[in-house]
Amino acid sequence: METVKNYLLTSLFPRENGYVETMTGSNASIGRMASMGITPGAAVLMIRNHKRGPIIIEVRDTLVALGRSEADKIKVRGERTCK
Amino acid sequence: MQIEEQTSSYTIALAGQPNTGKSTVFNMLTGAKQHVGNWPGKTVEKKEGIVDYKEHTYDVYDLPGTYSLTANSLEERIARDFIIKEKPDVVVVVVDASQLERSLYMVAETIVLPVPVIIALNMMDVAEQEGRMIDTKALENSTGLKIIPMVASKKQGMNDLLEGIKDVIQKTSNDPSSIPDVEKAFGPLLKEIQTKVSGYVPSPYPENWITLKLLEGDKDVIQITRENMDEHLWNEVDTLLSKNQNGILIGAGARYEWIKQVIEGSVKHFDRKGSLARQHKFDKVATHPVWGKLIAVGILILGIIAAYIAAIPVLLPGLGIMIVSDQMHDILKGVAPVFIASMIADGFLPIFGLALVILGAIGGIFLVFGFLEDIGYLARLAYVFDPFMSRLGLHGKSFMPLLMGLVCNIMGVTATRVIDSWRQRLVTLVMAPIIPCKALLIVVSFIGVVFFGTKAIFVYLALFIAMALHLFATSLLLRKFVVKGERTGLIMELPPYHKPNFKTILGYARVRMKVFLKHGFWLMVAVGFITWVGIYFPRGDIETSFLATFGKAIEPLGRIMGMDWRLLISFLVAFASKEATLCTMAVIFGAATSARTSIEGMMLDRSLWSAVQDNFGSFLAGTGISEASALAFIFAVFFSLPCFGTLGVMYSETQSLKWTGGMLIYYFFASIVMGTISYHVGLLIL
Repeated sequence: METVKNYLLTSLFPRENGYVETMTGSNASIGRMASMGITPGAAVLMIRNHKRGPIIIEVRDTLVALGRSEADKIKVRGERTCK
Repeated sequence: MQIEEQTSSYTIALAGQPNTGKSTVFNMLTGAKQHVGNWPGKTVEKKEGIVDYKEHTYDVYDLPGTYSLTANSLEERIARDFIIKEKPDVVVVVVDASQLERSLYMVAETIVLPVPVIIALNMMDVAEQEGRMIDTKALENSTGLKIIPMVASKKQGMNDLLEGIKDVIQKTSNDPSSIPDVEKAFGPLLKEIQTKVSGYVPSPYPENWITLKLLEGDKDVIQITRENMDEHLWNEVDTLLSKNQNGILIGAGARYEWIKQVIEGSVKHFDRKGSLARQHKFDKVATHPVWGKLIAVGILILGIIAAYIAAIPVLLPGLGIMIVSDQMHDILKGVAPVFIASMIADGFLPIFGLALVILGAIGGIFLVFGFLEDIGYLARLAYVFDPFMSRLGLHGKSFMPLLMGLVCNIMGVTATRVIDSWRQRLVTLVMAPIIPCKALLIVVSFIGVVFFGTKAIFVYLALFIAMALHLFATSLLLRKFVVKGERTGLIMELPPYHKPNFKTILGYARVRMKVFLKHGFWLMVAVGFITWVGIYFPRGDIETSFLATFGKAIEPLGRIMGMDWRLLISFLVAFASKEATLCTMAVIFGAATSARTSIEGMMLDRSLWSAVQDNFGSFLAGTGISEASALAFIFAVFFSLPCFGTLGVMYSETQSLKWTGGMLIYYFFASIVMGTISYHVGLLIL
């Protein structure tokens, strides 16, 4: 069964895709992320996601490193199998 | 005599995101006619230059590289204030053709401002390699802006750019054919707010831009508007604004919508490799949590060695001058009055030579680290050390300068230049002196072994713990009280790896050397001369000098640290030069004599050095200095402000006497506090 769900960006495995759904955080954080290509609707590809270290994603042809605290505030949607 | 007709000069502002090759474009345009200073009252660098083209002169300003024009960073505020208030004749936005969609974001921010905009579409070669063909004409049509394809690293496109600039300046109407549709994005709320603020917007700010920024929650704009309106009027606006959530995302969305429209049909991908191919193979190791760190440390060590090698052309002469000052001393004594001989051979030559050595080191560092930055590696290094650095309240990029501080604090402070954000740079720079340099480690281990023998290991442990605490405390103090600002977590681009552009790197090193020559160099020479005066006069003998008199006078103060006047002066000397401390101590304690009467001079006195190595240790042990005093001395010296050279580069990097003086005072007090505490603890436990 395939279900479309909202889930945390940080739950994506490397090479998994998703679309940014919601972003929370301070104006400064959101503004900076937006200027680097991360906005609701943008396609993201997880590149590196290791324990609690900063993640690396590819978005709008750009590799962006995000600290955990910032990354945890982004939710994505995509397609994931449930069960 | 000919009367020259005055051709007015035009102003060009260069804007653009980081890693788009903006500085390469700037260097290409201005060549050697560049001037680096600071934006007034700030510690952000201002780069300006001049280019002459077809009977006109253009003043070019390289604005700080920014991803957007929000109020969230000083760099962005400087960039947008310049565009709005200085009203340049044209703004050239440098755009990376291989990352077009994201790179155009700066264009989207700039075209809503009342200035003519030209797009310098740089890195066309990279775009081509990636299989992207950009139809420049189509893009010109969809944006209504002049677009100049360029490969700045190969100097391609410069004439077209200048021609385009000339054309745009001479045209009277330069409006883009479309701008981000913020009205659609924000709905009727936008017009409502605009009507309310209309008439209260101070010039030269455009009303529609102010409205947009208000909706995006821009702190500066909110403040400016609020100050210009009566309270009840502002409250109405505020109520309207609060109906809006996450305005910044709505605004950004409108900008990307615009970008999507204008590049539609202009970019064709063929031979498109999958996205994963973009992740360079090297990145897999470079960003690995374990291997990445090992590689980084390895590269840094190699880098430091390479920097010293690259520094040789300037470093060697400097070293030569220092060494030769010894001979000069003897030669001059025969032909000139003694004090002149000393002034030249002791007060001037050694420190001048040292300044040259440092100049060379700076050139070497920036060649090597400019190279690493240019190819894009430093971002990977910053990524891999970010978790570690954030425990100190710093970002990953601070790791490199701090590690270099272990070799030499001068190099550490200089290396902070690679940090982009001025806040992070300043905090790292102020913290860098806490890291002990190799010279300090030698002094401290020498004294430690002399007085504590094998127990010295405990002293070193205590020092290490104290150092860690000092780092934490200093970082906290700076971030809470001095360099305030909103702290965001890591949000950093890992730029694509690029082939290094040696012209850019050389130019970069040259500029940094010029900056040091202008400021730090002369500060060092001045301070060095002053310490010579303090040690030489009145009788050319350190024991009766001003410095010694001063030391004896403040001896009561020294008592709280358990230091007599000789230890006190040695401590003061340690401020000036760690390398010279032991030698100077030998002279002050009377273990040896030296004809040299300056701190650097004594360090270069070869006979003095052999005396120190042979029997100064046992001599010291026999002077009756208590263990507690020795402990206090070790701690005070360990935490003292490092040498002349560090002072010089601190001034050179901050270009602010205020900051340099502030750091001097801070470290002076810190060392006295450390000395006092350790003395009294020592009295209790030793």
